[in-house]
Amino acid sequence: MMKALTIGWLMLALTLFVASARADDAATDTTERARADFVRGVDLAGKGLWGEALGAFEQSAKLRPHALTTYNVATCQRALGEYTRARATYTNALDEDARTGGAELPASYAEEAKTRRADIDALLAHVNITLDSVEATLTIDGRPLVVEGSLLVAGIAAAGAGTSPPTAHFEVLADPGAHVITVTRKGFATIAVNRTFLPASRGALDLVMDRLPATLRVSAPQADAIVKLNGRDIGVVPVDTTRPAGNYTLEVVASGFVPYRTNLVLLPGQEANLRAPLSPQPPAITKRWWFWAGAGVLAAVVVGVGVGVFYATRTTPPPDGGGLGWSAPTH
Amino acid sequence: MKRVFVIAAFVCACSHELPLPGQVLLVVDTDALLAPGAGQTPTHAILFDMLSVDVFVPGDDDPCSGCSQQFSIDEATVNQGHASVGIPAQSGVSGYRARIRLYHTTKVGVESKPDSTIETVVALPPVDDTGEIAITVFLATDDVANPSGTLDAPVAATLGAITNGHAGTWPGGAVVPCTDTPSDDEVCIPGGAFWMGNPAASFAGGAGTATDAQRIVVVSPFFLEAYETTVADFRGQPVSGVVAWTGSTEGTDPTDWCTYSSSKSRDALPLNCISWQAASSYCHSPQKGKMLPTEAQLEFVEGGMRNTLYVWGDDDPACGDAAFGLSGFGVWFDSGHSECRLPSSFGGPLAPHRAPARSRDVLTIGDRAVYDLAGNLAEWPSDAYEPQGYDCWTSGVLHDPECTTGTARLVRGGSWVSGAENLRAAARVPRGNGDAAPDVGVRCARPDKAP
Repeated sequence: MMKALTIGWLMLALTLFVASARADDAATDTTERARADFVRGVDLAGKGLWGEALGAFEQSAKLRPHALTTYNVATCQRALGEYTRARATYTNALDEDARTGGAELPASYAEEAKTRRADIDALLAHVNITLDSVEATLTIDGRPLVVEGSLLVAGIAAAGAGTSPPTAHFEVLADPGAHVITVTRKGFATIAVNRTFLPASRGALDLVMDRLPATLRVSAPQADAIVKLNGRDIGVVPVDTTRPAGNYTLEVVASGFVPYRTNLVLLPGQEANLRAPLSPQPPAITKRWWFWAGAGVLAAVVVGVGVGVFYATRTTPPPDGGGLGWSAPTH
Repeated sequence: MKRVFVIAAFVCACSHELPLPGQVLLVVDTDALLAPGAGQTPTHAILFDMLSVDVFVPGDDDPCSGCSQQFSIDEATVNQGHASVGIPAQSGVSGYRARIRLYHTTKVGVESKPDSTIETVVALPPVDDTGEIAITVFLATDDVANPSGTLDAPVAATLGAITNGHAGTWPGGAVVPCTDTPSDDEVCIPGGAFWMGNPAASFAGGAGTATDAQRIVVVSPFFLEAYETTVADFRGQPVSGVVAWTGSTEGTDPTDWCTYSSSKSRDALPLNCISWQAASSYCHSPQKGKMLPTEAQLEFVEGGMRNTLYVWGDDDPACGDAAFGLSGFGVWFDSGHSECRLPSSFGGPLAPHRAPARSRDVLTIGDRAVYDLAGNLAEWPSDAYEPQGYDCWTSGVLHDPECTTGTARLVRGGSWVSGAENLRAAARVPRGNGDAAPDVGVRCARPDKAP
């Protein structure tokens, strides 16, 4: 049946494109070129050159979309093993035909498209993937996934940035065969796993991402400054250290300088450069003349205030409540 | 350095407390009968139990804020001179006053009632900046319901504090034993004092039954018969004023429950259906040589001589504690209390209790006891009936009162017809002089001989 339909492409296509070419001179050239690509695709498909044929049909469809051309694209994709794409393309062919009231796709072809789509559905692999974060993005074979209802379908979209799954747990529809599944997330090590899915298989895949360590570089104006991280010496500036992401207390000390202390939050994968601004230590306060003068004045004030407070806070004794322990609050 | 030590020594020598501001220490003394103190058994009635002090600053007729306080008071506190409070005052200012009240709250409520309160308003002496002036206020039991001093004219204070009070020394409160010897059917009721009337005992028993007014009554020792008079006791007396048994137990007439009969089979029953006149004549008869007890005497013993609600205490009775709630048969069907009557029983008064274990309606004094004071038959007192608050029943202190004005009478104590609330000591029910009812009987008494 398939062979019969494939052989019939040429005659059918010629009829369609001739009718269209008469309509408009401006469009005639485009139509002619679309027809030429179409005929070339049929020729290539007849020779089993499905990749080339696909290119020809796609070119023809770009010049002049037609449900039959889309049908041929799906047939090529199917022949190349691109089942998810073929499945989607057959659906597009049927939709295009429906939009023309069934004028573009003969009934036998429409029926065949539906049959092939159902065959593909039974052939595809279903994989339940669990990620530890929805912030991660996912590609399969370098292609993002396309959301189709509750499913994510692999192999349809063009190669590009990954897809953020709607939830941490989701189901992927993929072609049978070997695939590279890649998960990326900022601050975490990228996961790339190879998996081969058997036709009509159902499987599960749990992907746990590892935090990337942070890289910290500490420098200071003083060459002999010592760097301490969480109270532990890690060397003399400049220091390069790799630490797990998290909270740290950084201290940079140098003789004659005011120690520099700060709290750091190192993010996964972060490369932090920190220069400790050490400032010279001021002379000891006890070396200043005004220190002792002030201390003397302060001591005098303290003694004076103490005596004053003593007298100011002398308490009134509790009133004598008598044997019944009650004093009338007459004041 | 030497100066520093001198200053330090001076500072340490000073007290951190200022001298006590000037105040009055008000000490209360009284001769009243109070509870003896924690853990001690009272030897007399407790007539007062609460002390209140209100302090008024100069020019005010209301106590200053927080200047009113109540104290539960006992004999030990007063007699040790510890019934005192402090009243701070502005230096050199006159016009401070204190109102001191000693009153009776037991089973009555916490509020002071004028007829059960000893009250005085005293002027407080001016005080200096510091130091304390002690004064003593004496509250005399004889002044109950008769306050001394007013806010406008307070009485002068007695300067000085006591170290030994006088609580419990009121002469009227003494327990006075009998000097004569009781006969076999009598019990000596020692003299003493009690609160006659009790707001907690008032009930909706009909017109004239209110008992919420109070006065202190001093009762001299007397003898009271242990049992209500029986048919056998009465036999041989003139039967005028006594309604005899009809011989019927159909219950179609109230006199079906009268007990007097020529048949000796009814001798053990208490005599009822007797008028006041006949009862009084019986007690005054040459054979008896006695008299009807007074209303005060009956309430004294019916309150257990200690002002309890019932003769046995303050808890309400259950069937079997006394003979009550035994009517509801025949003509009593709609009007009498039947809660303690067996359904098939005719009801009526019971033979006087002679086995105390069967009932709590017993007042035991020494080795003798008085029975059926609360129930079985209500009893005629000697008094004429006068509503409380009239001339006979004023407030204050009354000594052996007996009301003789008028011709109406009343009965004291509950009966087989009445409900539990009529068994209360203070209950009183007016009756006509000639009533000879199945729920009223007689018990005779006589005074102790003078020493």
